[in-house]
Amino acid sequence: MIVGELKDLSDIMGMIKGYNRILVVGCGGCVTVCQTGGAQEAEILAGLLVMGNPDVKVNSLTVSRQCEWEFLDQISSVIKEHEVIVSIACGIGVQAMNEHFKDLQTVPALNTQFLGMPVEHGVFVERCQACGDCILHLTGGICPVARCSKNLMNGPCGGSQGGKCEISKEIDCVWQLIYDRLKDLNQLDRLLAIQPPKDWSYSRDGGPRKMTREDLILDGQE
Amino acid sequence: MVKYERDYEVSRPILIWGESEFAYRVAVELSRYLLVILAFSGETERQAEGISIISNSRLRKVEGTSGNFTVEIETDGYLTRQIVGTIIVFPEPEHNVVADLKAVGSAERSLSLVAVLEKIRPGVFREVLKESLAMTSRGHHVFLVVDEVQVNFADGEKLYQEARQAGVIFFKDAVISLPDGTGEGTCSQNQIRSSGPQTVCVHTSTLDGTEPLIIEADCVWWHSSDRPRQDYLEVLEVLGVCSNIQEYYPFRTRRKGILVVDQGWGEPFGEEEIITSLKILVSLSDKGVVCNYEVRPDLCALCFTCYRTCPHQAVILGQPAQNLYGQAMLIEPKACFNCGRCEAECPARAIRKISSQDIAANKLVLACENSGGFLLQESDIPYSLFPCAGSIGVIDILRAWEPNINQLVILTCRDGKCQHGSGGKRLSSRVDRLNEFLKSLSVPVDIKVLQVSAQDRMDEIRRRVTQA
Repeated sequence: MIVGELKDLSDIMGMIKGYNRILVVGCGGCVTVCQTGGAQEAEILAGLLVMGNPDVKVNSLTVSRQCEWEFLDQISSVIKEHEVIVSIACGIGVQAMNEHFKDLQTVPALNTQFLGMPVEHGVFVERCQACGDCILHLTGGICPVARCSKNLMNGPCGGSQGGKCEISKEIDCVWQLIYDRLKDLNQLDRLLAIQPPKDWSYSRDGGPRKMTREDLILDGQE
Repeated sequence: MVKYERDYEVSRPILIWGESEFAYRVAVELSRYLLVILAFSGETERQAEGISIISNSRLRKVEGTSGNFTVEIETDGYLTRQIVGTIIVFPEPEHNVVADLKAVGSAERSLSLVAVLEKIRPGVFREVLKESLAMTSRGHHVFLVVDEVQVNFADGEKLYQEARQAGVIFFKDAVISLPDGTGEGTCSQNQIRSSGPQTVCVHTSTLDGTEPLIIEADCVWWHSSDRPRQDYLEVLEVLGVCSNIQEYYPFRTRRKGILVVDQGWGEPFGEEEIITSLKILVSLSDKGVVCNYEVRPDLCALCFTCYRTCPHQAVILGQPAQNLYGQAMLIEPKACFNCGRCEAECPARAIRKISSQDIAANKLVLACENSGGFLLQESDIPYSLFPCAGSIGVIDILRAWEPNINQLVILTCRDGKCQHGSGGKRLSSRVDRLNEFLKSLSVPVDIKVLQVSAQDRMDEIRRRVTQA
């Protein structure tokens, strides 16, 4: 899921300064699951914004996914009654809102953090960097691109001590995890193969990415 | 065609986990009405009609809810699976201080006995008081070194005073040391070499002067962290129930259909009372079930928040639903205690209280109804009651606020007293986060959490609320 974290409320207040009719829009997708952008958080943020400035009127609602036009169409009539939208979706949702509702601005209330998962309730960790060229089959299903602080393809480095990364004692050395996992899978020989430098053109180095399923594209005649 | 399985539900057997005489007696009594499985980790030669006895066993897994638990029991390396309706556990204590006292108390010659008691449950403390009183009256000298004199049970103060008058010596805030080499420092449980004769020094500010009291003891015991035996702790963990539910009722449980009979916490329930109560509880376990909360499948995001945070394990996955996932979480009515935590925590606002009333604004106090909250009814302070502090969500707090209010008070149970796990702690975390938000907005609203008890005086609660 996409994990986001609420911005400082003072920053959000700064973004909506001067507006009197505000709509907080939550998203029912990833950010609901990571507890920062769902219906509850939308209602809470609306309440807090009123407490921060009792002179403004703040409403809240939540759509199933902010990144789909059809879901956004469902709220178009409500949008018109407001002067600014505060989105607590990820950056995709904020951009979708701005793209779809051109007459007014949608401002971001979340900082989109990473693609991750909850390892315990309330604790979310990064698991994927969307590098565009997955190598998990080579590394025991553990990603060195997202989870090695140096993105090393042939680890570990000299900073691995006691299974921890030199960056922080709270960060596991992913190459230690990969070693342990491959040992369990009886695939330690994989570590003997030198991985060539990663082709980052599939990632951000190739510019903004696009994925097309030609077979799914409608030709406009239907 | 009549669906007989629906109309005539078959009563499931009862699983009793315990090896004491009393556990066996309960098994015999209940076997008159239902099939009983009696299991425990030790050996036994016992046999009884109507009771399936499984010794040398470990409880490996429990799934399901009240009336329909699937349990996996490992016996001599083999795993058996049973379906039972109710599970009753009789935890054995790790150290039985009362039995220790009784074992030497019958000696004919006068003995000096020292017992160091730390973190002892009130019910056990009560038995220690009774036994010490009896031993002193038989001519023994009993010294009790305690972290706390406990009297919070029926006639507790009276029993304590009787024990003191009879000659039981109490030391509170005392430091124990051994005279040979350990000097003035504290000695530990491990340093007490055995329960046999030895000399101990008691340093305490309650004695005149600074010299320690030297006791030539015939027996010394050190009982710390009174708790169930390790194999019973494992059973309680598998069952998903807590071993230290501080309520003065021996059948408290955090999971419906699972009864932990632990007399160590308080009221002196007799064996007959317990057996009668168990018969009623077993027969009533599934009847008259009312669940006040439901999941709206169309809104459920399947985030597992309710599943993970329900203190009673009453939420299950699997309700077929017409939503994006085809399924939704389900609150199992037979397992729900109506504490409302799921509603407060659901990030999708997909859980609602059936026929709930909106929280009116301008309420100065939000209170857990199990704490002393209801005592406010005789005051003029506007308040709202909730089934548990854990059910008071941030949205509830915000709704109670009005622009002219700069302070809100929330009443919770005292630490360790929440019958729904840690509702007060969950609430406090929410309030801390909310107070941080308000601080960052420079909003002069303070939200305070006060721990109160239903045993507190109303005027005292009122004073604390108004002065908070």
